[in-house]
Amino acid sequence: MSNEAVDVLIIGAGASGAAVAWSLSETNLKILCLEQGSRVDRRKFPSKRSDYELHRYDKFSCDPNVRGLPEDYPINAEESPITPVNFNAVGGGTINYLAHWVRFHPSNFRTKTLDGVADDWPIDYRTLEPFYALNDRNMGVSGLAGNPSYPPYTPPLPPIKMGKLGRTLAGGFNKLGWHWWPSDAAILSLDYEGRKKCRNAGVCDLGCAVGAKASVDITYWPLAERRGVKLKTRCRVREVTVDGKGRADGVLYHDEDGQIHRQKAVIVVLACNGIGTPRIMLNSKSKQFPDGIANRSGQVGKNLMFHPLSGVVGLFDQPMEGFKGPMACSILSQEFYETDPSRDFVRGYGLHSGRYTTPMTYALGGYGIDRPIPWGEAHRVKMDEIYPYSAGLTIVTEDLPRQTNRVTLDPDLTDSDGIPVPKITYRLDENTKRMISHGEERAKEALLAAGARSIVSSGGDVWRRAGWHQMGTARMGSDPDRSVVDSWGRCHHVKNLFIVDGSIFATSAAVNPTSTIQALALYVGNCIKKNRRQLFD
Amino acid sequence: MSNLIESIAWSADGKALLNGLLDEIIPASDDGRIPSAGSLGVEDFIANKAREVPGLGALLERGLRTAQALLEPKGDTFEALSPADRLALAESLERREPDFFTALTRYTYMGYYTDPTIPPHFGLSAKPPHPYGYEVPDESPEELTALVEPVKKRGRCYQKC
Repeated sequence: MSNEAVDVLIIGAGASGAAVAWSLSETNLKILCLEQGSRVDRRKFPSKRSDYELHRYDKFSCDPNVRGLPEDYPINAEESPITPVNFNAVGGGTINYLAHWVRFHPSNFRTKTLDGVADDWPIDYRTLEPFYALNDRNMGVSGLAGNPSYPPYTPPLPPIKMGKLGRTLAGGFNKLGWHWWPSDAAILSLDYEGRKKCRNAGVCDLGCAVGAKASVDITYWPLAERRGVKLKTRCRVREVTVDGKGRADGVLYHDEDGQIHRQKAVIVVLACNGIGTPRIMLNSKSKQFPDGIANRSGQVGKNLMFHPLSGVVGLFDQPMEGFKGPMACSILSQEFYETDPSRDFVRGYGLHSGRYTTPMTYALGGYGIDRPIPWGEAHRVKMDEIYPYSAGLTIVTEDLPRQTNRVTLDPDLTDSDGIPVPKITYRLDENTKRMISHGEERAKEALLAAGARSIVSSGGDVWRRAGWHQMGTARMGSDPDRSVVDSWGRCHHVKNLFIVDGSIFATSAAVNPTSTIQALALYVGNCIKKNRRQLFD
Repeated sequence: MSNLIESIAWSADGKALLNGLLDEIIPASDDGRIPSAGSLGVEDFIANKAREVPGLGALLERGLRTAQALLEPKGDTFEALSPADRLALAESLERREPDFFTALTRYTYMGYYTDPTIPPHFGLSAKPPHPYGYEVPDESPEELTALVEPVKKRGRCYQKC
């Protein structure tokens, strides 16, 4: 079955698809977005139920292999210590993300020049700066201006509350003379644009029922749809098709019943995250692109980067009330963010004070960790004498691109429509391991300086269910032999195929990526608008 | 759930055995303020899960059979054993039936902490997080300024390029 052709076809209605749809919606272009998930019913978020914690281990898990919903596709991560997590719906991962809103540093765009690792981006911080600011206004970002870890900028709203835990840890960093700053968050500290401010419910991953957390189903999509962008749900794209000249001419997709449809388009934009985008590209084989669309460089799927995480927990004398407030945002130290030649690793990491978790999740090992605490008397000790008095720091490392860390198509496993599922092959490199060890030691120092009487968990392993940030698998670059998209986010070898998600990151930085993903999507949208008359020259 | 597990786990003896194991997994606090998993009725949660989760009923059935077999030579009910013997039996069961014990522990934790009477013992509300949330005092602008002042004083800490 074939549908009427559109000017711009966006695949994926998550963070980046929504932003680029909004950006392009000010034109007279006919725009359609296909999303494999549904629209979420915010009245049914688990955060509104008394058994809310159970849903982290069931149909609201961040892990698609646990959720197993019809709109999910399985991911084979047996050959990776980190498994990718996501959410398939209008809003994508912003439905269950934690909205920690950290920009890249200028140096993250220049790691080859500065440190001799990875590749420089063909754009820089200054290029993205206006799009960071625009996006901050559109999403509703709270934060404190004046952070000496960045070129000057002012978030549109005052910072979210640090809470007792954040203030305590800030004291520790100050004692050591280390950088820290209240976290920027895409969570409202004040009522904003018809949305209500944060209630400090502490379960951002289970759906923010008041709408304080900026998910794109309540920020970008209502605006884009009002301007005429069409959004079709439960449409799973199988492949991008090409015409005789090797240009993208649309997609084949499955509807909810598995029926296959053709959608023609003049421009195709992929916005399916760092796993879903290379999956579609690798599955889009043709005479012109036998190894997958726009993959003449062989780079599609390669250079997969996560942010390997480890955590250290200190035990304090007072209850730390870590379950109150935005779940992953309180304060952030970037003392060890930039390269320091005296260390045994390049690049760096952040020390994030997310807050703490809720009792069941703690008992089952923590958020993203499947390592239950002991049973018996030791259980009581952990729950009664340690859990309430704990505060932790998470070490978030800058991952470096490696050709061998990659997404491929699983030769055997398919989703419910018969499309091969992504297979993840990923190993931690020695640089990351050294960085994690260094971070764990510094985290212990910071916790003890903040008044912890002991360290109750010293890290040691990276968290498995922590592949929230998926980057690098269709990277941006100037050299068509080493990268997939150019400085406009346009595929080197397919002039009307654009990518706007984390796939196009040339480096990962050591920060949550959604702010940069959306800034890039707005920037790419702007490139399309400015250059639309000459896109095919 | 099979008839067999119904007969084992939810017969009077079987229930007592299961509840005894639940009490071993999450005992009451020393002062009795926080109840044990068995006394809280977590068995109902586990029975429901056994019906819902494929394979769980059979796993529980096998584990509880082994538990009964371990109990039989002692010639007594689980409840009548000394605390040391109850713990020893649970540890022996964990060694012999690790998959069963892992599953039982996991669902015990889930059932226990889902009970709305438990989170308040740790300072959380018994109500759903939304729309109620929590009160968190504001940091006053003065307090915030004082806290970040030393950081600002140290100056720029990113690499210009």
